[in-house]
Amino acid sequence: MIRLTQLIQRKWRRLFLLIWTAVCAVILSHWLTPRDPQAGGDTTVVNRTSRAYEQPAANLNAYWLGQHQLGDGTFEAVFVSAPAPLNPGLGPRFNSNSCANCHIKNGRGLPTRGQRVIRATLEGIPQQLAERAIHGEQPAVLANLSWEELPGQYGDGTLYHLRRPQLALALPNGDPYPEGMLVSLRVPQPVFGVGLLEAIAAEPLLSLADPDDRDGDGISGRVNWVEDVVTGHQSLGRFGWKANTPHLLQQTAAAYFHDMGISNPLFPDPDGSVDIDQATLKLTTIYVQTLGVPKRTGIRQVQRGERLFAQAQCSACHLPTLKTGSHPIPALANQTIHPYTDLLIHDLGDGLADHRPDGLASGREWRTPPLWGLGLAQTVLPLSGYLHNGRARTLEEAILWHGGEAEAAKEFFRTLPSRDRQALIDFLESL
Amino acid sequence: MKPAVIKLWTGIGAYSLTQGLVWAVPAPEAFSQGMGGQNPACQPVVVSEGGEGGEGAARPRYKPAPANQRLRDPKVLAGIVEGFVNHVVIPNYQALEQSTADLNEAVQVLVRDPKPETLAAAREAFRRSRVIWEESEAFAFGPAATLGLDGALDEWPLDEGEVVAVLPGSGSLTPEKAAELPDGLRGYHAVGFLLFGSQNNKSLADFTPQDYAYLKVVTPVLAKTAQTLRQTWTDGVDAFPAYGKVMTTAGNQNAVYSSVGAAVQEIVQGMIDLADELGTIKIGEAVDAQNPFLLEGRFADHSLEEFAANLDSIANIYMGRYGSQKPAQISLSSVLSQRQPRLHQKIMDGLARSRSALAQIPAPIEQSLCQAQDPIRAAQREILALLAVLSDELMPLVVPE
Repeated sequence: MIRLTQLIQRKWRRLFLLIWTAVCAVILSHWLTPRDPQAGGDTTVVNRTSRAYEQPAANLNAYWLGQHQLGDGTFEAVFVSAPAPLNPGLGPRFNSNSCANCHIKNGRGLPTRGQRVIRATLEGIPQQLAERAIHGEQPAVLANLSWEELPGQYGDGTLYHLRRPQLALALPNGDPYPEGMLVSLRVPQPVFGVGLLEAIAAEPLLSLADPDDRDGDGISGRVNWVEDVVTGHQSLGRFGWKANTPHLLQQTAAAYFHDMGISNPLFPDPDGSVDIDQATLKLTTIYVQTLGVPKRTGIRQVQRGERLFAQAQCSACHLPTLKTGSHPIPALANQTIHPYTDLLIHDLGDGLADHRPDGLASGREWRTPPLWGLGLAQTVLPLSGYLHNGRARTLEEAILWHGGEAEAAKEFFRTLPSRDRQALIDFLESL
Repeated sequence: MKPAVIKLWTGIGAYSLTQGLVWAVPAPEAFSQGMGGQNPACQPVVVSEGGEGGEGAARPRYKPAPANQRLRDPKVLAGIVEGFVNHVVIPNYQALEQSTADLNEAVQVLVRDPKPETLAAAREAFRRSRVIWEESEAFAFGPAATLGLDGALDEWPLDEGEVVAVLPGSGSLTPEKAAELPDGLRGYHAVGFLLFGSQNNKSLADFTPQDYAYLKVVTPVLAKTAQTLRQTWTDGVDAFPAYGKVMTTAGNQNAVYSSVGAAVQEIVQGMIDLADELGTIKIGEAVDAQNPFLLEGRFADHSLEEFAANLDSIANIYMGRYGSQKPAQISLSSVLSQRQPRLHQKIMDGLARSRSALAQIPAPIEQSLCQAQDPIRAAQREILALLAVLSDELMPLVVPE
């Protein structure tokens, strides 16, 4: 009897051990297999086409999907000079006549007339110099863009070329612009995923800031505190190349006003009149807020590049993972996302500097742009460039322009063997 | 340009009109006649912004189908892309190039010898070319969109105020200056506005010397743009390689399409986007707002023909063919009829039902928009049902891994 019990116990023990081993193996293999991180949490869309940035978030309910579709219409609406039966109000001065004509397929724009933006500061007053005007009016500026090539060399001796823009500006009558004007050339940024960035609470971002580099890693990062035109209070800047805008309603309203000459409730005409009402402004804002983030591709093949990205300290600013907090649009709330940004401004050195301060951001400081969807940039708009004025023709060039706080990361990349450089680029292409 | 463009009507157009906006420039015919002048039921009314929001139509919210159902055979996928490029896109753009050259020729004859016959010929050439353009809209995702050629050909709405402002000086418009005009002013809608008037109501006697001068220099620019568009797919333009080749060489080393599957997904996405635009925007918004100004073909009373051409655009891609030319050996249709005969039948039925529903709408829709709501709504329902099949059943089969 005892023997029998022992036998059964032994048998059970063996079975138990077997099951335990199997469970461990499954768990271990699950851990070791790279999972597909959902770049935009539940908003993520499975789309690697040229329309990948134009998809509604995958988790919108019927109400918000309806709002998104209406906003799609306002985002694409072409404005014309007033009076007109449809969409009047363009200008008098403008860069483009619709949101979609600059943010090509919701992605980057080119540094060409009609897409680029020329920001200027004259005698302390910031302004935007429009290159186009409706009939009977003059544009603010005549601009001529050329490129200067700069040679460089990788650690292994391979030569490369960077280019930087040379912008010649004149008044419409041909006279030169006044001396001492500070000028910054910009290209439009992608507009998908921005709702999620808006939904990140301020606290985690504040905790990431290290303005005096107390941890001594050579990377500081700080918040650009800017005016919220809705409340009149100082607020954490999140959007724009120098994080000079606190939220998407303001970003959208400013773009309507400065880029298209469309006055609106946040930026009315001097007499208080508006070209679009609050409902239209809100719909366009909702449209960009509710765009999905494209799912990554080929993740299993780029593990080494991802490790190099971290090793180079790229990920110290291009933070892989953040969590969103609450947001009026439920689909954006409480998501784990992989935007590769910290939304802070960093000193990127003299090479990239525009020498034009913007709020607290100095001429050398730029906001870390998110990298999600980066691998689709050439699918969405072939030959589009990177960085604030589109100067980088390739991802390699974009990395090589980094300096200042990112000097060490740039040098890490520049001195890598070419196989490793390619691995890092392949990782970026998988985003 | 996508006519998704018009939503703002509800926000601002109606607002301005109902507020009795004072026209600051001499009102062109289009405005002074007012919308729906012969159609009192279609007077402009402010549509409540929230009114249409709640009921979202089907949109791509797909999940990939199980692996064994997906189209994964690289040869089949490559065949679909090859057929799409060489048997649909390029023949369509070649026809577009020819039709704009014909339109230009007819316009030059009209300018030299204005009489009812030459005017009728120019208008007919315009309508023919518009149909061919609308047949190409399901692949406007390529260089048409990225190089701004869609805007240069088809930006809408037309800035009629700008046309009116430019017209008095049109005698001194050189071909070079015409090529530099803003997008909309050298596209189809500017030519259509001058050929047909604001509501297909222009008589030969209404034509001014300035109208002729404008048409004479702008129509060649339109034809040149169409030629450039064809070249972007066949030869490449400037630094941009031929887009046909970009698509047919999809794969690991391709900067645009990292897999053949991504190129096929792109093709299907084009069909979906156009079905959505046609059902939700082009028909949906016009009938919801009861506003003929929202019909893109209104100068020529031609919107209904253009809707049908959009449907053909989707069908042509599915069948891998254009016009009477030899169809592709491999197409979505040839593959699905073998592997997913039930879905194939559903798509074919959806196309046929949408086509016949459009044919039930009394033409021109610019006149019937408000009286014929039942057949218009019926056509919209059929197109949205087709959209649902394409996005919920076809797309999951081609989502790349």
